[in-house]
Amino acid sequence: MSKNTTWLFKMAWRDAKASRVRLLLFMASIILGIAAVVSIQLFSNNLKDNIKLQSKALMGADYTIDTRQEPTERAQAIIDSLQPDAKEINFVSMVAFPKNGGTKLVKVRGLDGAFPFYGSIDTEPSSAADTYQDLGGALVDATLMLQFDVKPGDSIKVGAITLPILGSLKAIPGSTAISTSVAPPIIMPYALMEATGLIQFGSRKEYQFFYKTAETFNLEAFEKIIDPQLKKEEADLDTHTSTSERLGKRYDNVGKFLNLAAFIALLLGCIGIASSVHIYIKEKLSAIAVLKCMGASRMQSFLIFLIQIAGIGVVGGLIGALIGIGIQELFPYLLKDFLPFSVEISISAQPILIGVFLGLFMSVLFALLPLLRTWYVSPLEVLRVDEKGAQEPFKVRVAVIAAVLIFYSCFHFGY
Amino acid sequence: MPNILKINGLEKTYSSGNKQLTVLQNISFDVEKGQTFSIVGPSGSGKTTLLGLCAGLDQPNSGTIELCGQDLNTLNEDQRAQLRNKNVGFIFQNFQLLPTLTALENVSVPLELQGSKDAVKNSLALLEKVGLADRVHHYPSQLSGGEQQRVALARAFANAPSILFADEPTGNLDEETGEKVIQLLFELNKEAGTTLVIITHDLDLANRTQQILRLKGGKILTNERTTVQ
Repeated sequence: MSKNTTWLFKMAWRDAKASRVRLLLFMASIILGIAAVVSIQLFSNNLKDNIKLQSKALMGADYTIDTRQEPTERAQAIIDSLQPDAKEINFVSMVAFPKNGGTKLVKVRGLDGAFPFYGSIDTEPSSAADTYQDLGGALVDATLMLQFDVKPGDSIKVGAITLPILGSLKAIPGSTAISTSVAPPIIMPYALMEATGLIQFGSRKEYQFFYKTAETFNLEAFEKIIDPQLKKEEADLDTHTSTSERLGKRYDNVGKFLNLAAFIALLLGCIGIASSVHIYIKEKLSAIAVLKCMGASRMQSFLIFLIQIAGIGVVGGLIGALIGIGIQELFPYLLKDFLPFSVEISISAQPILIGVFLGLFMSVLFALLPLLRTWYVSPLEVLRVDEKGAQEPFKVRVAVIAAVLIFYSCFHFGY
Repeated sequence: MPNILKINGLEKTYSSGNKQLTVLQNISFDVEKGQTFSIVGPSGSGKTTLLGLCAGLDQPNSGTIELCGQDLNTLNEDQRAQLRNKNVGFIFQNFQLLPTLTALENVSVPLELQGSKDAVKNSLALLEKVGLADRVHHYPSQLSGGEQQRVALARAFANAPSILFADEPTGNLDEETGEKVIQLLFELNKEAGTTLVIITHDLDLANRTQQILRLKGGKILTNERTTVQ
């Protein structure tokens, strides 16, 4: 490092030390923008990774076949030939709680077999998930039980039959708190569904068949052959991979919304940078004139403050990235009602590096216009303050504003 | 003695809207090396404008300025800055210390700009000379007006300048402090053999220099030698 460079860093540090309050305000703008971008980027990446990793647990099976009517003879033949490991009929209906006479619209799910094959039905008591089919009882949504003040041991009337409530249903693969808020789920044995008298001609019901396959089974090739045949019979085949892809696309919209929020935070951060540096540099103009008077070149005067701003950009970017990592840990709690799975948070280096680089880049870019004024300050200002103040040429100003607009466009459309 | 500053046919005009305001007109004079020289005149006579031009802080509309053997008209802003760093010292009415730097750092700046290895050592010696050895780590806001001007004096002599420009050096100080600062200025000047150009309203101060240039309305009224040796 040359003597001149060392002196520039020394001057930048000396001045920054004495101007720390102003510079902290400037740094706060960077931290705000970077924390938003990093937290949202990290969470979006984690969301995508989790959907891929938990695709089987999201469906509870390797693949399913579903139809909104009683399967046709041909569809039933295909379903039977594939030997389902579990099956379900579900429909939306009113149920009653004899204990207090309460009624509620629910989604009744009649299950047969060891579904789910991946993940589990979370109940209270936990044994209820394993015994409800054998004991002929029902699992009732936990919130619903709370709402109607019913407890395990009370009963529920579904159509023509009354079942004992064996446990409260806390979670089941593939459903979210939000999606079940209109019609909370009730799970009961498949064998008792007919006895409810609610499955009749014209009922809105859905049949589902769940399958488990070997790890080596080529689901993609299988889907290509079977799905078109089932489509002809008004049935549908979904694999865990296609479901996770569909879910991924759905959460892409969430990602887009979050990115928009990050963009707005970044925009506010950039405005903060530009205005705080503008005020900061304005206060420094007379000191710059003194430096030039003593022999500092235009480049030296400019670099002292550029080094300060860039340094603060890097430190702010790093702090912002670390805060972003902390904030993303909160997202799973904030969004738990919207997510059908638990998000395992992991930290990758890329968004942190992007955060630091973005901190440096946005601080320098948005500070450039006020910083350029240091170049044009006349040393004569030590004797006589120019009322018009130092002003960069129009062309320079246009070039910087164009660079700022290009940055925004790249950032906005890049996401 | 050779001339360190040669001014010939200097003219400076400012634009104010559509009007042209002539601040200096046909100014020519020389300053000898090692001489003490004062420029006096009423407010608005063009003293400060002339100082700015002589030190290469501004450029004239016409005429030539030769400072330390260099024609300032042929130098760009950065070259003029380099020339100032090597040869020129300044003292201002309002001290013009860098507020974010300590007294020691303020004095060190001209030396550091030259790449001097002994910037701190020399600065400490100068601060001791001006009686501020115990205030070296104080910021300007922690010093009195007199102390600030003494720091400015130390800074002005830090780069061992060939010529020192002082713009109303006592203008912001009370009489007693002002006198102390002037005594110190002349002492340091004598010791270093620096050419001293003082801009002042104060005729008593001007009479302590070897030559007095009187300005009025942007023109030279008189340019006389005094009895000071």
